[in-house]
Amino acid sequence: MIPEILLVVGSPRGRKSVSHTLAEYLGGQLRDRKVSVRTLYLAGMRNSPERQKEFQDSLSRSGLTVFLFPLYADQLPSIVVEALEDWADQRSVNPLGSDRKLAAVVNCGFPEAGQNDAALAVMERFAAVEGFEWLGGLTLGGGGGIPPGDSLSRMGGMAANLRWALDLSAISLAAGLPLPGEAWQAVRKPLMPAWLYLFFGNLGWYWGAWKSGVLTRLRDKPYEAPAPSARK
Amino acid sequence: MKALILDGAARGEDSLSRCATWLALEMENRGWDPVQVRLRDLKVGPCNGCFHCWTRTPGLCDQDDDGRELTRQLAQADALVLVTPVRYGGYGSLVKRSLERAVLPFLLPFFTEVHGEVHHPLRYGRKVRLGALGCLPKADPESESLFQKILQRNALNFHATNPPSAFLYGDQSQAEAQGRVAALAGALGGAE
Repeated sequence: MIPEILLVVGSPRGRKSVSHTLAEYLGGQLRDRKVSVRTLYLAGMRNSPERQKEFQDSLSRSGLTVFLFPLYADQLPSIVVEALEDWADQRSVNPLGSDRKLAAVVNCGFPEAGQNDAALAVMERFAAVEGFEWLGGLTLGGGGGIPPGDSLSRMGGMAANLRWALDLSAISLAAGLPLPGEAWQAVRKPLMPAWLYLFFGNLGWYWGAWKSGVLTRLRDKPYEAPAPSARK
Repeated sequence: MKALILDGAARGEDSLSRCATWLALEMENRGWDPVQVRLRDLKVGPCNGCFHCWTRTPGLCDQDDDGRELTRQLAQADALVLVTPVRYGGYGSLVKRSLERAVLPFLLPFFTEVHGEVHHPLRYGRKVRLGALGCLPKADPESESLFQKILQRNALNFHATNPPSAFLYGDQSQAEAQGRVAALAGALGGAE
């Protein structure tokens, strides 16, 4: 049994993110299993030496840490990369305790969960290089279908597979065991058919632009190079 | 043809910056018009994930810092080369931060299929050649393989495939490093 688990939310959107929604649900499931849960947010941390130190101390000392973040340009968001780099730089003054475990949950706005696999592999590599035991990860696509900052429980049947995967994961994590294969498979099942997701996704961009009064400017090219004849 | 070289050397990694300069010279010899941008000298904040560059100020990031200039340079480039330390198989934070700031406004919000996967259309309609020079303390096949996989995934964002890469090691001779840089410039092809 792991007494305390650290959840690290690596979305730049902080509490208004899908990663936060997932962390809240996972944290609730862990608490139900009598595990103490602490959640840290990396958003805005680079401007706060106190928060940086808290993160570095916590990562070194926590028996089990779960990173939850969105895919940004096919990788970890830069705030996560920076946090890992800074932590590694401080290893000499803040050594990693023994028997430390690591897991990660990566989500993306594309329908294919597989687009997250390389980012998850970076986390696995981090664990291997820095001496954490890797407990595995979950990757989910269609993140745009999850209300950011809202409760996963309120999504009803659409998120049933996702909740089940996180329930299973919580059981394993609470025991300090690797994430089960069933959770990996369940979380990769799309929340809705890809065509429907893409339809509503595209509609959402038009809706957002309409609300901002820029519907006709969505395809603007503010940095278009001058035509060759105009170049000197 | 313009080539944007993002020099992601952190403080104390001057040898990597030197390699970026060699690369610029090699590309110039092949007819490119290279621009080497030393990222550590810029003020670039991380992407906030607000998507305002898609739905409020199309093509422009909300943050008024050097990240906007990076998008402008990318929008007018024919090639983008990332010069970065390899961190756990991924890019260093300087290149990663600059890339996520430059790329999102460079794309359109809608979904499209690229090589069998969903991605975003190119705002400026032009494909960009992508390449990378990764630096490690010593050879590390696992990290290098992951780095190439990520580069390949990034290339899909530019609607391209098979981006060339080269790796430099801390224990390498200067002549060997220069050879690898020249080979990367060759693999990126000449400017037509």
